[in-house]
Amino acid sequence: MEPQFLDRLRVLFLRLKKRKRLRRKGMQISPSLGATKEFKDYRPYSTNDDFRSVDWRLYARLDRLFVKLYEEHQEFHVHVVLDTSASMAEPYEEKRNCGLQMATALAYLGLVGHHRVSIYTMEERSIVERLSSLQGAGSIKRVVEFLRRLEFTGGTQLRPCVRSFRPTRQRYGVIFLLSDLLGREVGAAAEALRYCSSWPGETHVIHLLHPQEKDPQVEGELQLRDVERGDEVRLWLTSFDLERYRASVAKYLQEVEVACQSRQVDYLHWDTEASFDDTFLELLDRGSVLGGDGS
Amino acid sequence: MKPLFPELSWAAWLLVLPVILYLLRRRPRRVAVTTLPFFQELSKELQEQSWWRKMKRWASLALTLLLFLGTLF
Repeated sequence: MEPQFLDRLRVLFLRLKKRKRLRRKGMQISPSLGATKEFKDYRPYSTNDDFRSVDWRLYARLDRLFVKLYEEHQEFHVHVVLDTSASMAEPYEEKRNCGLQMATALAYLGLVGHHRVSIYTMEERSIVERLSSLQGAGSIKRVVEFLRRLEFTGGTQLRPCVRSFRPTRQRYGVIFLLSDLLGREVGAAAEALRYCSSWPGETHVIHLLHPQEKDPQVEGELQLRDVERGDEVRLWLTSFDLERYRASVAKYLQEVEVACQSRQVDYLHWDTEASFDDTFLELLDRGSVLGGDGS
Repeated sequence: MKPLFPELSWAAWLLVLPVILYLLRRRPRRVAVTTLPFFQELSKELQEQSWWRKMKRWASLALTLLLFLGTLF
């Protein structure tokens, strides 16, 4: 990851799409109003307003009652879940690199925004917390060190994995799921994503796929080997078969997207050939987590 | 059993040819994939059990050899 890109991230901060009043107060400024010492705006006084918030100096000047509004600071959790199955690294290494870059960037953004950041890996049947509740920009070193040593092996059973992820309500926040969503069955992903709606927070699914997975450039007699399970299938593929394959993958992508949308889960399909910067900023631009002055 | 054409007995070595062709047959390209369930769903009718595939291969070799032998004897 380029240092310049991390610098650009510094000016962005996370904000929740669905603002939620949190019990704990932190450093994050949200668009909602609260009771910190940072002045935000004035509003005409109305009944039920606290008299203590009236600006009496302004009243003396304008002869009208105004109440002072202050910034509300929020602290929330940023959960980054990274799929570490073999299909994320083999045969297309780009998926692993993109996943690692995105995980680093999201963690960095969370840390500089003074949020708590937890990193999880998606394993055979569960999502395991590997780095818990990190705080402070300095913790990015731990994140980078951890992600650098991460191994991508084994398979993933999406349903038990997604079901097993249960952060407590106290850890309400933003959840990013980085995965290729490839399981043992074609329809498993859409079914597994149903459980995302019960996660405590705003969920974003970032679906990583290599172009070759959508449009394989192979033909003829082939011995296909599954990178996760090692199963082998021998096929004679014609251009007609490949056409059907592409249609099947397109249908699968649509099903996944619909499954997310119907449960108010943000879905971003990331073609690994697309630029990382553009994809990352697109994710933020979707109104889900973008904040700051954007320069 | 007597050869139909004894004068062609020297050509018996040609029996080696189908065996060589069998051994040098083109093997399918091995490709690592992440989307095997899609391929499996796609062309179930194209998939064959490995024992059936092996049997067909052996049967093909045996028939070729029989054909050669039938020509000679």
